[in-house]
Amino acid sequence: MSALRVTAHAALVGFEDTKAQYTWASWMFGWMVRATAQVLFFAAMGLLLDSPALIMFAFIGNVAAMPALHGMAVGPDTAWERGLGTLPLLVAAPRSMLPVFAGRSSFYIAQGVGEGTLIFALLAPFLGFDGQWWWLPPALLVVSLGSYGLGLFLAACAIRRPRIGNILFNIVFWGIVAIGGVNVPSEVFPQWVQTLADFLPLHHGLLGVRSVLESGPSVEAMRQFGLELAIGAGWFLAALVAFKTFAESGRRDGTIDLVE
Amino acid sequence: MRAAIAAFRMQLGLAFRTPNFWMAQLTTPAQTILFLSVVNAFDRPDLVAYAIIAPTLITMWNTGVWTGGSVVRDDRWQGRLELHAAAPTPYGIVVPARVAAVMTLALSVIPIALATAWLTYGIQIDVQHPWLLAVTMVLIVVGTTGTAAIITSMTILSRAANTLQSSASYPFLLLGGVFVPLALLPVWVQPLGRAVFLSWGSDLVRDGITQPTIEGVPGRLVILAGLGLAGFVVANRLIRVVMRRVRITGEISVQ
Repeated sequence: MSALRVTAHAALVGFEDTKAQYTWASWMFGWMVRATAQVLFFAAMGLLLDSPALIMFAFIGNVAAMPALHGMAVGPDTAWERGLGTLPLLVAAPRSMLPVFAGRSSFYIAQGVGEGTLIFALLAPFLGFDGQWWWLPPALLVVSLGSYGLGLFLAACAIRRPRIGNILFNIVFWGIVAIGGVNVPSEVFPQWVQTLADFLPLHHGLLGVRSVLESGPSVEAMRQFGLELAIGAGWFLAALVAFKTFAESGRRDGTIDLVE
Repeated sequence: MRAAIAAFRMQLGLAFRTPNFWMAQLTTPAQTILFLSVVNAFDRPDLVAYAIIAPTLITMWNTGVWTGGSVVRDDRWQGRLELHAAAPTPYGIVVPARVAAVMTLALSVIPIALATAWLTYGIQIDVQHPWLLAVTMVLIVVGTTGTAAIITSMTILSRAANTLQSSASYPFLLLGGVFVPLALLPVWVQPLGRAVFLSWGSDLVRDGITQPTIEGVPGRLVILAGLGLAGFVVANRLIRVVMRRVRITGEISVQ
């Protein structure tokens, strides 16, 4: 119960942090313009390849990549914690660090779902989307939750080497966008790449998103969402172990406060 | 000139020691695979060059805007901004020189993209006009340096400009036609895109690689160079004005 309370308090701190980072104007005319342009940039590939189907495929894929982007961004942000000097206190505290970090960036889940939905609502009418749009927010929530587990695992890796936090996040995110079925179906890649995509977030969630937008909830869509959440939970458990070993080794050798 | 060379060398040394400077380059292989997979899935070998040019230009632009654009922010965090304000050497010379160092290193993206294409899809590129390609790439580096210097100079006035820095990527990449040529975008967008030097640069790079004969090369190069140099001039003026203002108001550390 108290782990939940810690998570809730951490979530509130994270929300205040995000609020301080943006004004309404800088979010709307800065970040949202960039995020919308990112989706349009990839959807426009269909113009070059003369394929309206690619426009729609890449549009939905890149909208779904938005909550994944936010879900994974927890990695570099958590690594900052070490630079800010709050980490030794967390390690000294009797509880696991995971509830703190899980709550700290949980606002990203809501942000990713909200922004993905908003970009979709802005662009879908112009791109001629005629599917069941009302299923999008819950479907994006699944993608966001699935990605958050990997984001926390990246955080547990980046906290050991804060200087590589951004690099690690960017390599993993773009790797997932390349092979996860965002712009072309994963089937165009060799079998071993498809297997790799199977164990990463976004791939299954995105298959579910495409399915519910086209024909509403189905057994297949629910199976894909189930797989996405299971993969997210798997990475969450890996993050739990990684945070625990980091804290234990840090306590043992006293290196927590010695940022590289 | 000596100050500019010293700033350039200092930034080169810093870049070699800082992992974040290589962030954009390290995402290039994934982005190259992304574009090549699309072109390959649609069986369009004629667009392979496009798929290699796009991640190259994206990385160069992102390196300039993000890494080059963080020069002033780093100075602020390290407490060097006040020293620059007090120093007799104009900061407007130091900043573009340091961004230029970052951009010079960003050229390493070209072999990275080519190697990724060869290792993953076995693709090799034949260049029709190597000299035009080389000159265009240099002018793109100049233009990106000028634009990044403008963005970083805005962060002297306000920390909120950091949001602008992270936002100045895809809108420019879309208008710059780095994968989809500007001519294929809606007509009303095209005049906007023509004001972005990158649109002239990406068209020339594509033509330099794929077209046997190219029309209007001198005029297009002049426009590319002009828009790029305009960025430098604007950045230099902006930094001068902003530094004078923060000296008068004494707000350099409290923005």
